[in-house]
Amino acid sequence: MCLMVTGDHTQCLYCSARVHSVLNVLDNEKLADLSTHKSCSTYKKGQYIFSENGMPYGLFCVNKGKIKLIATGFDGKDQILRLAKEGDILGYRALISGERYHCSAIALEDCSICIIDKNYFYQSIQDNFQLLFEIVKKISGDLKTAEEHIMSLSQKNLRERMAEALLFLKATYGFTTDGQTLNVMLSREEIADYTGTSTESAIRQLSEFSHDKIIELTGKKIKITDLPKLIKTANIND
Amino acid sequence: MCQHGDSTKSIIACLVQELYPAIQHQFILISSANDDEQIVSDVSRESLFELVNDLKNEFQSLTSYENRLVFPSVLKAFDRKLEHTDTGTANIAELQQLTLGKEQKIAQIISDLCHEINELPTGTASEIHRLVDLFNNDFTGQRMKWNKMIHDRLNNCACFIRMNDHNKIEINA
Repeated sequence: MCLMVTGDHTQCLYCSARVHSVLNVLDNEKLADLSTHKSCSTYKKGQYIFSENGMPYGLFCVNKGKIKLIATGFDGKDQILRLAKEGDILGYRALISGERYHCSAIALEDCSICIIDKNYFYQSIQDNFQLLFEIVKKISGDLKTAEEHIMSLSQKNLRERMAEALLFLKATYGFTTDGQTLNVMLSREEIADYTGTSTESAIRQLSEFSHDKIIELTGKKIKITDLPKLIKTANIND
Repeated sequence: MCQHGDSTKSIIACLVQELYPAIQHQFILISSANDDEQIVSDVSRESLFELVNDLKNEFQSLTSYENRLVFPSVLKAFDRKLEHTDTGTANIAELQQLTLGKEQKIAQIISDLCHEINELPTGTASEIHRLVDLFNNDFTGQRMKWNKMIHDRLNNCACFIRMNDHNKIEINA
């Protein structure tokens, strides 16, 4: 990594961003060698560093500035996947998997970025276990973040919303004579509709409540066995 | 029908036919607004739109419960003849507490949204400003009117008083 000047092989050894990078595991000799296999460029705010569906030809290392990675959604709107800052590497997923970029990288501010030759990068991770391990750690971290994001999108408040739905049903239809079973029988699809989720997610959530001994399920009958816990889960404060 | 039935119907009509469609329309305007004129930084745009999305979900959830459960239950309560009160009736007080809880969640999101848009340069995110105004003024005003009406009826209307004898509030139990 280096500071600006297109085509200039400035020294990675003196790069201030290196301490935040996976490349920090390389020794001085390797860093000197790396400097001869990369080029550096500056990008203006709003400029594309790489584009969705483009073929990767190297590994991008951010020396300075912030970059957003965006993908176009089905509705044609851009979705920010993540942000990158100095010391971060970009384009490694497509590079390693041999696929086209699934997203675009755009400079959020004026940036200075180096690109390491693709073949040199392949050779480096084959020759250097420590570097390979750092890359794997980086990918694992990304995977964890992505999984958490998926979880937050699909599960966000689902538990809360399901508890809320059961309380609304209880308030509307009441209990049967046993004082615990909801006096209404709804299909899982109908319950899912109330919670604004898929039927599969609703079924999973009801099973989770059952497992937590908040409710008991017998066919379409729902028995609320722990009302205080259900109220607490619904997060309704008045 | 209970003597209060007509005022209930007119408040429900105002909510369902005027206020809620206006809010829905504002959500559509936000989603179709030109991103470039909206907000300066993409980072702040992301968090702002996440809040708008949360607000939309909470609002739609509230209206869904009201349209399907709360409004029909309240209207049914006024339609009932007093001597026919039975144990199958909805617990209006409990339903109100649940909707109040949802209103609180909406109020919290609006407060967060206000904080976010106050950080933005003047003149940006105008559609979101309008949405916040709708909630802060019209929504809050109409909801207060609705809640006051329910509260008054729960304490003064024979329909509700009879119902509450066998339908105690359990939400804070």
